[in-house]
Amino acid sequence: MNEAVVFDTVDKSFAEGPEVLSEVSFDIAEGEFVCLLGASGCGKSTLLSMIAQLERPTGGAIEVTEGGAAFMFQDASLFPWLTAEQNIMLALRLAEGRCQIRQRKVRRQRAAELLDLVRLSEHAHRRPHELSGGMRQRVALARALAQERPVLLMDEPFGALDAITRSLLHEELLRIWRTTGRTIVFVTHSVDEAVHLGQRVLLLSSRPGRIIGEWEVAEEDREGARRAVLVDEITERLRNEVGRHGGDTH
Amino acid sequence: MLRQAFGPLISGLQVLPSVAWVPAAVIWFGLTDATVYFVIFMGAIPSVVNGLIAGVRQVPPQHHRVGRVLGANRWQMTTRILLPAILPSYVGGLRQGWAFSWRSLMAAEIIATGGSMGFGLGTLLDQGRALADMSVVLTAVLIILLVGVVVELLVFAPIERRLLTTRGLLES
Ligand SMILES: Nc1ncnc2c1ncn2[C@@H]1O[C@H](COP(=O)(O)OP(=O)(O)OP(=O)(O)O)[C@@H](O)[C@H]1O
Ligand SMILES: [Mg+2]
Repeated sequence: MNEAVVFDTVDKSFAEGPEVLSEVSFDIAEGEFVCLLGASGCGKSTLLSMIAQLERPTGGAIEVTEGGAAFMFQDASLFPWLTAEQNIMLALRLAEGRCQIRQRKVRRQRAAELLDLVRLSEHAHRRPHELSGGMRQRVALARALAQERPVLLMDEPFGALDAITRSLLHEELLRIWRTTGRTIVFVTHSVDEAVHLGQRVLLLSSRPGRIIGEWEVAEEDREGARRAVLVDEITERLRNEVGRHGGDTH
Repeated sequence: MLRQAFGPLISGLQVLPSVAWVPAAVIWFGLTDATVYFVIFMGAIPSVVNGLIAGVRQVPPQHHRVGRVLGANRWQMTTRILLPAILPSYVGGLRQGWAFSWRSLMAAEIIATGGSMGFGLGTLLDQGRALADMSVVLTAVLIILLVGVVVELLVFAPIERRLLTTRGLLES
């Protein structure tokens, strides 16, 4: 199978600061759904930024499939002067070459579809500051999907949602993933979410960030007793990792 | 970089009262309307450019990152992201530029009269002085003040308020 993302002993540090990521190596196959877990501040967002080529590694090499990655940022990052609909239309417009939508009318239609998908049709004409945090995240999801890129990076996308909306969007995301064959890298703090969505779960350590755990999640691991065992095992490792730095939180 | 190169120059120009340009303008353009336009222009330009530069510097880096991820080229980055992002500072600069211009226009009309120059409020003021007619002088002063306030309230204030409210930077 072809690889969508390859990290080969990647190091990353900022200016004078300590090393954030150290010798990180992994491959993500085309069409794979990978979840990334790790303590706060361990470098997950930094890792995604490097996949999106917004940051350069200080060592090692990164390869990303042609077409690049869409990025759903941790803080939504919508443009404050545009409405929800216009934010999505802008993404469609800038993606013109990729998704072949040249007419404004068609773009508007596509934007309406995407807003409907994230259940925000009634709020299409609101601006970001008039939306709740969870609504902004959903607009950001719609905008990321509008870009039609082969890789989708999601940085704690559903953190601010109620349980019901979250599970609706989980199913929607899985459906999109199955039907479009996109490669998804999904950062989360929730082991449950990671096991529910991912085919593979990667665990990142802190200071410096290294891959210290990797689990394949088979279909039968997603339910019942096997699921509980897997969730417990990953939670235990994550707890150790967070605990290791528990004393020096700021 | 832009700021390092032009910053001191622009700030210097902003401090220089643009009336100081009147003699030069009269020499270059004679007593014509061009003189007036030139003085107004020199009065407004530093504020406007300052507003632009300040705006560019205040654009959050995250906007650039989003633009790059969305696939914007240089032109699109400028027109669709940078310009809308700096619009409030630009209008702020225009507003300040207008205040400077209006002042210098009045001063210019008092200093330079005659030739083919039109008759304005400043000229009225100067005539009032020449005729020692206090009522004319006071009326002119009031009208000058009124025009300034009206433009401020009817043109700039609403534009600025609208820009800020749509961005959620002001309680509506
Ligand atoms: N632009 C930057 N300049 C300097 N240091 C940075 C920069 N970006 C991130 N860092 C540092 O890199 C480390 C990892 O940051 P990152 O945002 O990737 O963490 P994270 O795993 O996404 O955390 P969280 O779960 O809280 O979002 C942090 O210690 C942070 O201080
Ligand atoms: Mg993060």
